[in-house]
Amino acid sequence: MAVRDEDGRAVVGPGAGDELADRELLARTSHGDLAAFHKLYARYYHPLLRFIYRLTGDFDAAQEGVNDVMLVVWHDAAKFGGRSKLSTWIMGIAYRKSLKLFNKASRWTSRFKAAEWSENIEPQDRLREHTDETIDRDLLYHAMRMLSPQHRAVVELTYFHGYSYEEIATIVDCPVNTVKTRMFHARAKLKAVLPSLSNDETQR
Amino acid sequence: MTAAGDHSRVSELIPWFVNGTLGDAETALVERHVGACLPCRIALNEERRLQRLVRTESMVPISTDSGFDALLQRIDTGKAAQRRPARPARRRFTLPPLDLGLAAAAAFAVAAVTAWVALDIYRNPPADAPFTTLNEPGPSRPARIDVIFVDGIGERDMRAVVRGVGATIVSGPTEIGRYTIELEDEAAAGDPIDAVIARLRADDRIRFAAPSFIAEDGAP
Repeated sequence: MAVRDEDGRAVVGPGAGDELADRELLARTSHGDLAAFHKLYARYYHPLLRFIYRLTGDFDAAQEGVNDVMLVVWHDAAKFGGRSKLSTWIMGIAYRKSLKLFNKASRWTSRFKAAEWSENIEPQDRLREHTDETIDRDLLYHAMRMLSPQHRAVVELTYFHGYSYEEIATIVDCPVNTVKTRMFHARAKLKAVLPSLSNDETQR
Repeated sequence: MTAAGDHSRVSELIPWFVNGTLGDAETALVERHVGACLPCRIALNEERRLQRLVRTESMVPISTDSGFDALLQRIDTGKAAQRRPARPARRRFTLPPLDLGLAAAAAFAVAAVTAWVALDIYRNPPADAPFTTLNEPGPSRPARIDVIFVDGIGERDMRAVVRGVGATIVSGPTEIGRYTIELEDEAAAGDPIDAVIARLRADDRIRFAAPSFIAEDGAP
């Protein structure tokens, strides 16, 4: 899970080279080492928070969701078989948790449509200076909301968290071709809402 | 593979070419094809822009401490629940039909004795029998606080922290290193428990402090 800036520095979460260090922390966690678990928690907190928030759209639920995921990690640390990367295993737990939270929230908002979470965010956005970048980000925000959580997950895991399609297939527990198909449909929908994706740079 | 076959395959692979996770063979395939295919070159630029947008949509980093403390509470509460002896399975009580008469007689006898005792208490109440309502506070319980010390702290420092707030350790450590401390009467009277907790939280040697909800028998 290596998210790096243009200079190659890790921006968010553990870098790809940290897998061994993470596994060591998990092994110590499986023996009840609270300090090791604390370090693991701190390393995964923000990537998990962002991922669950992107899938559910509910920040409070996402914070609670992070703890739900890490509680499973605490209890099941000894069960991690090492067949996949540790981050893939943890993100898989987060994906399943996010879908449950999303379904729960959907039942709620379908009853109270007037109180959709996006309504609370827009007024603050309007206060910002509307540069091209902020407009694009707003458009992206709304475009992402039009996607199903399954499609959003593939976009997030690819572009923010930097996973390969094989790893994403493991996280969301589906065949590789399904991952590619979901990405194909997500790209088509995003492109329809985000005309700036196909602007100036494209002909260079 | 035909050019049309390459086009369709490369089109699918572009997002992972952009995030740099393709293997060597697939990377070479995309590079070769994109050089000769304008629609794929356009798609490649679109995906690069999408990746930039997704990544710039960052979240403000927030402290993980309060989240971790909340998680510790959940872990501890779970362990306390596990330690409690399991409630025996409820057995269905069935009465043989032939014993119904006997059971009715026994029930009548129990009811008669209960009524007699109740009447006696009504006629002769104990002189100092307290009468309380549900809203009245129960017997006072010493103020207790759960604390977790920082890793590697020595016993001397632990004692200094606990004595510093006028308390004594009454239980711990649990499996996750949690101690319960009890405020001595004078300390509890002089300083509200919230103030004591605030002082503990401000101490560098304390990682976690919160009111204890765990009773003496370990049950929350």
